[in-house]
Amino acid sequence: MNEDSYSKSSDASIHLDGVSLRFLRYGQGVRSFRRVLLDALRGRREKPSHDYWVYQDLSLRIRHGERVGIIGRNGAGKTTLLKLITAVYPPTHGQVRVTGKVTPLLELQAGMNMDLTGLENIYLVGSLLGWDRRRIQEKVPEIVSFAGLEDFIRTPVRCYSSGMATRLAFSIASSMDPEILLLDEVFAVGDQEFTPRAMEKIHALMDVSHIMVLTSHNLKHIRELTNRAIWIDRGRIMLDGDPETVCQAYEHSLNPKPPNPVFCT
Amino acid sequence: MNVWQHMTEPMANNGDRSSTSDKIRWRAFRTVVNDLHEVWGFRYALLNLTSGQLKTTYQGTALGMLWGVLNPLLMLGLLGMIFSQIVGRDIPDYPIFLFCGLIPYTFFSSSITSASSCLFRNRKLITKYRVNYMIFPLSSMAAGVVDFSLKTIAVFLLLQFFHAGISIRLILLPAAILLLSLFTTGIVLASMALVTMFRDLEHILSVLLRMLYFASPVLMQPNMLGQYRWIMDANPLSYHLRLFRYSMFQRLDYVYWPTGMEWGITIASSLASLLVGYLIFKRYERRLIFQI
Repeated sequence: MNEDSYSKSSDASIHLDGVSLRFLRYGQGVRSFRRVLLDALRGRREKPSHDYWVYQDLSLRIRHGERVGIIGRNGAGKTTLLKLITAVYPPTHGQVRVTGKVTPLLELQAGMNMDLTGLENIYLVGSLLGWDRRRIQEKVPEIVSFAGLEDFIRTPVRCYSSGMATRLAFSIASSMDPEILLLDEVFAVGDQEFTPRAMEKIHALMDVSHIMVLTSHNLKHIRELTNRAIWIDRGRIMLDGDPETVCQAYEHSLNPKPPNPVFCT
Repeated sequence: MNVWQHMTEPMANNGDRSSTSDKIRWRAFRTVVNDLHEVWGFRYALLNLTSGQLKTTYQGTALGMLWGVLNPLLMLGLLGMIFSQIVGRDIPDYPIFLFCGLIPYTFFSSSITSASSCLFRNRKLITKYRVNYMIFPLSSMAAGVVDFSLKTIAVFLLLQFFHAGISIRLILLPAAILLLSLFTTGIVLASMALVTMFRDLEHILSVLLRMLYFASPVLMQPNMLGQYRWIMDANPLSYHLRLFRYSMFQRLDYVYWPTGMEWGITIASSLASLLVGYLIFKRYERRLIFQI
């Protein structure tokens, strides 16, 4: 990849300055007006039953051209970090500043409406990603042929098999030119015919994106695809640096002793 | 591009006290402009969400649209027959009176009910993409207005069987629909934010809507309430319903134009509702994502 080819548009960057994110939960997850009213009459305030800081004072800079892998155990806050970058979550304190168009490949089918046809869903999801009508029109043939759904594109998505729906969702999400690409464990898409093509497409997207942030439990992907790895544990950055070093440290933390070579059969 | 920035940015304080209110005003202005800009940026999404909702409502069939209109008409016919014998004896042309009240009232209440849960319905989408939350109530409202307009046309044609007639006052109809839609949009923004924050408000809301039904001139004229007439007179929705009724009730012997005060109340209440609804929505906007 030629680094210079990126600099024609302005440089993409992600800045997190002292970001804290707090999740509050009340009772069974929702706040009840009856409770608030009763408490107000008694002159007190309902205390949240669950007060949890996902991140506290997190600062992170990702520069143009970096391919960042994020590793950590379940619940460490990997996906939440991606959602902070997408601005789905507003930070409780601090600032998130992102330059460049963010393309999230998180939950692929999220924006689709099952009652609409495949074609209508291309327009719906495309417009949610912020494309205009003409741009979507240009992309339609490419999306349809990549998903291999030429015969079903005017059928409502609710009649699709789950594999077909996933293929369509992937083809839509991956058909634009991302400046900042966010990937959340999207390496198992579709059947044996589709998966290699999907992988190829993801690699192509990574090549054209200015910044790529990837979360994965598969350290092989991190080692192969990134040039910087960040290990997160309970909302803290444990280690940030060269993928090989970080992966080794992370593996070491998971298995302090070398793995036992004896297997039960 | 930091979409939350305009709200997180601390007020620049350089000790210049005289300009503080100017700064607040400037910030409020920027917030509104920013929101409008964002919604405009999502205009295609808005359009697609609206058409998706309409297709779901009408089940994508040619007859679906007809059923959407026929269903309430049958209901209206039934109500008309029953109530014209009970409450309607003092009101001339009671079925017409009733139809012209029920259509806008149903639009008002079903918009509020459907829009208050729109964030839950789109939960998956909201937790994945950064979108301006206002596009969901707005698309729900847009679908509601299309449905409302179709039903109005159907009722207007039906009313010709009751000799409702056609007159120049039909030109009031677009204004009536527009003002009622704006009035409803404000309430929808507020109820969406509040119901998302406090989920049991959904039940309270349906009780309130039922109470409002009897406090609005849908079944009865204000003078039929006797000493409680002031309730209907104080209810801004009454004036919206009346404006709608003026434009549909076309008999030449009822020639009557809305007074300046009635125009004033409908316009002012629409603007006030939009402003208050927007303010309530903004107050909770940053917390909504954690509640859905």
